[in-house]
Parts: sequence; structure tokens; C-alpha cells
Amino acid sequence: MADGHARLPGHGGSDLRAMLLRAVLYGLLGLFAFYYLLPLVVMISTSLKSLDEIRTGSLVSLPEAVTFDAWAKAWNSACVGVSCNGLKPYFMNSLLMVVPAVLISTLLGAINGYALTKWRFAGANMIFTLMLFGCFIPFQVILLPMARVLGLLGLAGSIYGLILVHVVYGLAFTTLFFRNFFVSVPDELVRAATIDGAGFFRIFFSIMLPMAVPIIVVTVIWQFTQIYNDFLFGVSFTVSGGVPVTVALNNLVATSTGVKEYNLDMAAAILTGMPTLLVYVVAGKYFIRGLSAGAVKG
Amino acid sequence: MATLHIRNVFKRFGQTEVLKGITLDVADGEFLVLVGPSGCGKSTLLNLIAGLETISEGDILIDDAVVNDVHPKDRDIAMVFQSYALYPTMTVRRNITFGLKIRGVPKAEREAMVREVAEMLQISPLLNRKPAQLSGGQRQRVAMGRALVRDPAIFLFDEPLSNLDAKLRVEMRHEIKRLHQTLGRTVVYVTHDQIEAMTLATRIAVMHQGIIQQYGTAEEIYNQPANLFVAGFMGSQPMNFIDGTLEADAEKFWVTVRKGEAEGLSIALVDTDPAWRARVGSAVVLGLRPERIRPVRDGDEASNGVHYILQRAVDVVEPTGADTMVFFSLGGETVSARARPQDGVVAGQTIRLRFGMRGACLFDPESGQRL
Repeated sequence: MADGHARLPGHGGSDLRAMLLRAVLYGLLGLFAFYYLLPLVVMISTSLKSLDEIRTGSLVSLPEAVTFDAWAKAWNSACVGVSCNGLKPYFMNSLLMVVPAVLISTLLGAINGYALTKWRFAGANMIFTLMLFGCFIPFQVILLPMARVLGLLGLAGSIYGLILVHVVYGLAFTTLFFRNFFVSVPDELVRAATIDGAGFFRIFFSIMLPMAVPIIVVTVIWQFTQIYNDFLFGVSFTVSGGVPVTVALNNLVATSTGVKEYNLDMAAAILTGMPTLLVYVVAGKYFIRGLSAGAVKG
Repeated sequence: MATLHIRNVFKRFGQTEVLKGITLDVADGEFLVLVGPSGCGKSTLLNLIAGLETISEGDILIDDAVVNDVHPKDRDIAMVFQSYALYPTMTVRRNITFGLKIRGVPKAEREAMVREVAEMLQISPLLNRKPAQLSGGQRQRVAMGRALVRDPAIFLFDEPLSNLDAKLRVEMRHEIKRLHQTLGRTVVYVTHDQIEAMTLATRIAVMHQGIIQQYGTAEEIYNQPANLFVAGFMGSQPMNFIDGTLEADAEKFWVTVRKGEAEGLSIALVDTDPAWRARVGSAVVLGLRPERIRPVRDGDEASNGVHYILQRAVDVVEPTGADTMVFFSLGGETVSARARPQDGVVAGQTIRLRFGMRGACLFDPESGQRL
């Protein structure tokens, strides 16, 4: 870009100015990057220190003797509440909740989006508008009614209950994503497939879903991040042994007994945040691409 | 073997009436073209035949069985769409076999059928490609392959050539005609292009505002248009319309043109109808195809009543290669004539024009109907 800029006709004498602007730009970007990364750096360095070193050294100093004890403890043996098995079991809880909740809400959203755009029925737009409201309802509003519903369904305090809550809450978003994608798919495809003899689900699975890969990636990332990072539903609708890792992290950090183990807290926090980070690093490229693809077409 | 009967079919979308009582009978093996300007209801009618839309009123019969409530897949039809509607994630082979697979045709048989159709359409080397890797013409062939492989009783085409460039369009037109001649299947073909209609059809239904204006062979529609709309719509250079008054004496009829003329012209009519007597003295529109008007050439026999000769200044000349279109004014309208390039007509020149009055049409200016 810098080259292209410099070569523009009529800008011959301003090479120096362009370079200066670049320098200021990169300087500013670097500054912001540093500003945002600093907490992570402090977290990582603290997690690698021993408790003694934390007590004697300063907050920003790098560890003198690197030790992974805190990480091991956070994973295996830290005490969350009364049980001292580390975060491991709670990771399992989160996984058992996130995977089905993401898959179910994505699949249902895809079917919704497909039905709302390709099998238009009277009131389809009305239903879509109503579903959109779901995107704007604050979590706190539904806590009590949802607790009542889960109680009536016999799902209170279970992972299944939590999955149900996340699926219902996620549907508004997943439907929106898929609806906006499928609205750009020509209706003639459905007509052609109908004449070929395909029905509602055959068209969906054989033709629509394979086309929707970019938006599936976007939806899965979005839903994974939302559901995995959720704290409020987790803390409200599960009981001690079954809490997701976000709640467990809170319980671990908030322990009031004994010495405050900062290195342990930091390691646990990073561990907890790892899956979402990983998803972004691996699939972030597709996320951006999928979002913009939808934007251009929609 | 398939006949198609459409009996007094209406289609309404809410308050709007798109089709207002369509009746058509199509014999087995016929190539019916539905032609008309956009919004005339021709695509809607095709969708009704396909079963993709429901009929508001009336009946559609395929092979004498009412199919109003029969699902598209059970109507024994195949359709080619304007946008081709190829399944983008499937290869050409899977696109073509998708319908067969759903119908439970065994794999070996499917493979043989694909091979045969691919051969016929010359798309064999493309079978493993995805639609995105094909050119417009190739996609068109694949779309036809998907219809052909099903070997249906009736083929439906919805403006299949309108997304192709001019040269490819002519090629594919030939191909479609050849396929129809080889297979002898009943075809219903929708287009807004009157040349496609003329070249392909065994019978044409000209539609306008949800009504069939005329249903007949290309020859009938071209030479005996039912009304002003059909006469103006069909023909690449539209029919000339000249306003005048119908006059007659004991044995002859003529049209007197006064509008835009210093002195009235009396153009004698050749193919007359005694019924016109009742109209003598009233306004009429004289319709003449451009090819009926040409410059007078050496060796032309003297006017014998079949021809009308007029001397006029040429306004505009448009050479098209094979012909040269010559425009002049008559009766306050611009009228076109078809000359040969070797006639050497130039703009501004005053020439003598010869009107072949055989095949001239008279229309009622009020109703637009041909008299």
C-alpha cells in the first residue's frame, strides 16, 4: 500500500511525508497493541512465577525462575468450593454443554432461516421480526421465568437444562444469520429441486446446507463464544458439581480462605479463556470472511 | 406421449389477477411457445403447468388427467430455468443425476443415462466439474441435461436463453429445435423474444395482460395477426400502422389517408371481405409489414391493382447487411420499408415506393381487432 501510494502521479515530492505518516500510524497501532496486550503479558508472567517471587517482586517484572506449578495446580488440584480436583471436571461440564448447545442451535437456526426464506408462509416476516426481539432481551430478564420453566420440565440444576436455555437464547441469533444468508440464494434452486422430486428436508440437507458453509462457520464461532463465555445462566441454573468452567473459575478465585495465590488465579483464568482464543486463532479468518461474504450478498 | 390442456385458468395474487381465463390445447409432440412482454403472465402460466404455483380457478390436464393438485414431481415434467438453477455444490454429474437418485434409479443405470445425455449435449468432459467452473453456455447445456435425463412427458423451458450472448443464443436455439425434432416430446417454452418464438414453435400463444391474444402457428400469427397488439409485437421490424378511413364503391375498397398528408391518398385494398361494407366511412388502421414495401425497380410490371405506388422523400436509411431498412413518413407516422442494399437508397432522396397490398391487414382502431 505504501508503494502504491508513493507512486501515485502528482505525489512525487511527498515521499518523506508519506513515510512520516506511516511511522506515526504504526507507532499508534503499536501503542494500542501494547496497551491491550499488557494485561495478558502480566497474567502470563505472573502465572509462571512462584508465590514467593510474586510477594517480593513487582507486578510487571518478568519471572526469574519459570515454574509451571501454578498451571498444574489450576488444572488438577486447586480447590473449587470443597472439592480439590482443579478446573478439569468443570472443563468437561462446559464441553458437555457447549458442544450440544452449539450444534442444536446452529442446526435449528439453519432450518429456521431456510424455512423463512424458501418456504414463505403467511406471517413469515412477522415471525422473523418477533424472533429478532430475542436478540435484544437482556439475560437477567428471563432468569426467574426460565428457572420456573426448567423446574416444571424437571431440568432444573442439570446440564440439559443449561443446554436448553442456551439453545433457546441462541436461536434468535442463529436464525438471523441463516435467514440473511439464505435470502440471497435464488428461489429457482428450490423450484428445480422440487421438480426433481426433493422435499423440504432433502433440499435442505443436499442443496442448502452444503452452500451455507461460510455462514455455518460464523454461527458456530459466535455461538461457541457466547455459550462458553456465559456466566450468568451457568451460575443460575446449575448446582455445585455441574457448574461450567466460567463459574468454577469464579469460585476458585473468590475463595477467601488462606493466602491469595495470584499465580494460580492467573493460570486458571488463562486456561478458562483458552478455548475461545483457540477458536478465534483457528477459524477467525473464516469468521471475517463469512461475515463479509454475507454482507456483500445480503 | 403427452397432451396438455389448459381450461379457463385464472391466477390471482391477492387482488391482482395475473391470468384471466387461459384456455390452450397442446397436442402430443407439439412445441408451444408462450410469448409476450414482461408481466404478461407467461411465466406464471408455466409455473402453474409445472405445479410450482397453485391455480386459483380452472383446470390443467396432462394426458387428459386433471393435475391441479398433483405434486410437481408426480407430473412427469422437467423444467429448465432462466438462471439454470444448477446446484452449486454438486458436480455436473450429480446435478444431472440428483432427480434420478431421488426417484431410486440404480447407480449403474444412472451412470449410463448420464453418459448418454452428456454425449448428446457434448458435455462429457465437464461431468466432474462444479457449475462455477462452467461458462454460461455450458451451464445452459447442463441445465438441459438435467431435464433430458429424466425423459419426461413434457419439457418446460422458462426463458432459457435470455442470459446468453447473441451468438450462443442462436446456437442453443438450433440445438433446442434439433432436440425437439429428435425426441418428439411435448414442449412448453416461455420467451419474450418473438424471433425465438417464430423459429422454435409449432404453435405460438401470444400473451398480453394475462390474456391469450392469439394462439396459432407462426405463419398464422405473422400473416393474420388477431389484433394490433399481436401485429405490433411479432416481427423484428414491427408492422407499419397507418390511420385512415375505409371507403368503397360498388366493387372496390380503399383506405383514404388524410392525416399528415397535403392531399388525401387512396390506397386500394386487394384481399377484401364483404363484411367490411358495414364499416365504410369509419376509421380503420391499415397494417403493412415492412417487407411488403420496397423501392420500385426496373422491370417491375405496371401497377395492376395489387400494388400501390407512392413517391416519397426518404428520412432515414438503416443498412443491416442483408437488407436496408428505409424510413419515410406516411399518414403522419414513420413507416419502414425493406430495400436491398443494391437499390442504393440514400437519405434525403425522393424515391418511388411499391406497396404490395396482398397480406395487408385492417384493424378497428377502437377495439384493436383485425377486421
